[in-house]
Amino acid sequence: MRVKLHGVRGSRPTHKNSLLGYGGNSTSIQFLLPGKDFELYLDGGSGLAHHGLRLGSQTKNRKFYFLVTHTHWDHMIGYPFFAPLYNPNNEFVFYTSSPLEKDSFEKLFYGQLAKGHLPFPRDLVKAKIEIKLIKPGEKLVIDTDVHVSTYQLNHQGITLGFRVEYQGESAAVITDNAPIENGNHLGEHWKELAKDNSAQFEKDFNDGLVRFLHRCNTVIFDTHFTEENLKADWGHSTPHRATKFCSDAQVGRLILFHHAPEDTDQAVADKVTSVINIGKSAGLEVVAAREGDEWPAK
Amino acid sequence: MKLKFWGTRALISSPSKDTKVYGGNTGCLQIIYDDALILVGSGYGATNLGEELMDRIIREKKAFNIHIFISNFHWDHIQGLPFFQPIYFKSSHLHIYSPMAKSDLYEGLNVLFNESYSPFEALNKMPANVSLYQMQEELAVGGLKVRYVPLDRSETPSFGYRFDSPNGESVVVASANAGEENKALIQLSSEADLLVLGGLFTEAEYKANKAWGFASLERSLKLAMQAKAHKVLLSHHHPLRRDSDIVAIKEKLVASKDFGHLEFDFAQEQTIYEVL
Ligand SMILES: [Zn+2]
Ligand SMILES: [Zn+2]
Repeated sequence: MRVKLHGVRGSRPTHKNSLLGYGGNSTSIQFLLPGKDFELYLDGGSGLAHHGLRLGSQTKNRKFYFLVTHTHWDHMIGYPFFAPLYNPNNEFVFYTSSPLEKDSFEKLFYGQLAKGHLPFPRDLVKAKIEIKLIKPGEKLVIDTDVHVSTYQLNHQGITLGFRVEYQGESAAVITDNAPIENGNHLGEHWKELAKDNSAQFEKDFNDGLVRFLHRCNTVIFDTHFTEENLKADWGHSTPHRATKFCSDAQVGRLILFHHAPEDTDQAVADKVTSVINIGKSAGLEVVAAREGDEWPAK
Repeated sequence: MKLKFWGTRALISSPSKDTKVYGGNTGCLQIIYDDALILVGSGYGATNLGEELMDRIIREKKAFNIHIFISNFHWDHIQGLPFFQPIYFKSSHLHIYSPMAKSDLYEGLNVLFNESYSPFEALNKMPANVSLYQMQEELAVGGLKVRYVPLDRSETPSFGYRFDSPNGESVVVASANAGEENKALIQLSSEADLLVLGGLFTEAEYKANKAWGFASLERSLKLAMQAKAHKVLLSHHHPLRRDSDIVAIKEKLVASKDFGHLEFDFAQEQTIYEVL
């Protein structure tokens, strides 16, 4: 299995000469599964739009699975331009959490196609679409031997981290996730849940995430901020936090991801430098996500 | 008067080393006249201006009045608004204009701030002071006279705007123009010094994508000839067009001689265009 990075930016896509080395498109990741005749993606940021516009509506594979982390714009804006959606013979399955209070993925997915917001007619999207609701922690099996597990992250609403296992290899994506310390509990209803024992809640979350990532080959982790500019309640992490989780979990490779739109190529490179030795001492390889790159999950 | 494009792309941002010249952000254009800050569209391009303004808000304690004209609610024309940095500061005042009823304007923009799509709650809960205006026939903003016409799009109300300076310079911005002849737009664009029109499709692509309703490059240029505009800038580039593709299309259009002596070019992000 390999992971392909179609979009690596957080918050919004951005285009400026100083950052095009790592790329300006927002979150889109593809899991390349040798021997399978379907496609597996995570999220639909602007990177997915470009991938889809190039693919066109006539594709070799007819079935598309999507793992949906959450519905913030940077993870959503690409869907309407994913041309395989325009083909009536294609089938889509979206796995998404079911928020308690906020709008569902279904409402927001179709909301993006709403009249007045796109220049093409809504019925251009002709593929068969199925939306499957999953609970945090739920495990899925796609096509008998692709195993997917989930973990709720410390981010607004109900945001899911995903881990994909195939042929004995594993890759996980943790986007977006803030440090949970000091009552920074961003998940839906977490404040109430944690009110009696905040410290235990935080410890359980952190231990749970380490277990979730245990011995994973390749982990793509939100490192939007640095320790210097961290705004914890904005819902994002830093290279140091990501490196700590991944070394505690004995991960093989950490890919720094969800670069802030303000981050220049130099700033992204500096993030890698800031943790590369900490990683090395724990046997962890640290690299930065670059648009278009492919990494093996081993 | 001058013009600066902060975003030139249609549909979806196109950040790439292959789009460095013509630009990769979705639509946002700045009209520069005296000290006024006037934008048409608030696509993601607005955030690159926003970064510069935020710097001045923090370092120079500057308070900004920013005037934004909305041409329609297509995502690529509005999606930068929740990320436009001045909106995070109490000292900023955003003035947003459209010929639509204020409640429709609010609804059309507020969806961007829906707290399932964004970490925000609502447009009117943002720190900046945001005022909406339903434009009447004519308006004075920052020393400029502003007028508008509908752009004849069937799926959503869309508008083109004309800005006239007291010393007789004029700019028309209508990059969402439709393919069918629009007499009102021709009239509004009459003798304009600079006319900004859409260039999403070539004529062949236009014929294959009629449901999208955008004019072809060729149709935009013909309209400019009818209006006797002095210079045309084609914007709203297709997200898959690389710089080299745009250059090739331009060379073909120039070679075709269909457009007589009309002066035209493709809009480039970050370039400042003098209105003469
Ligand atoms: Zn994000
Ligand atoms: Zn998010």
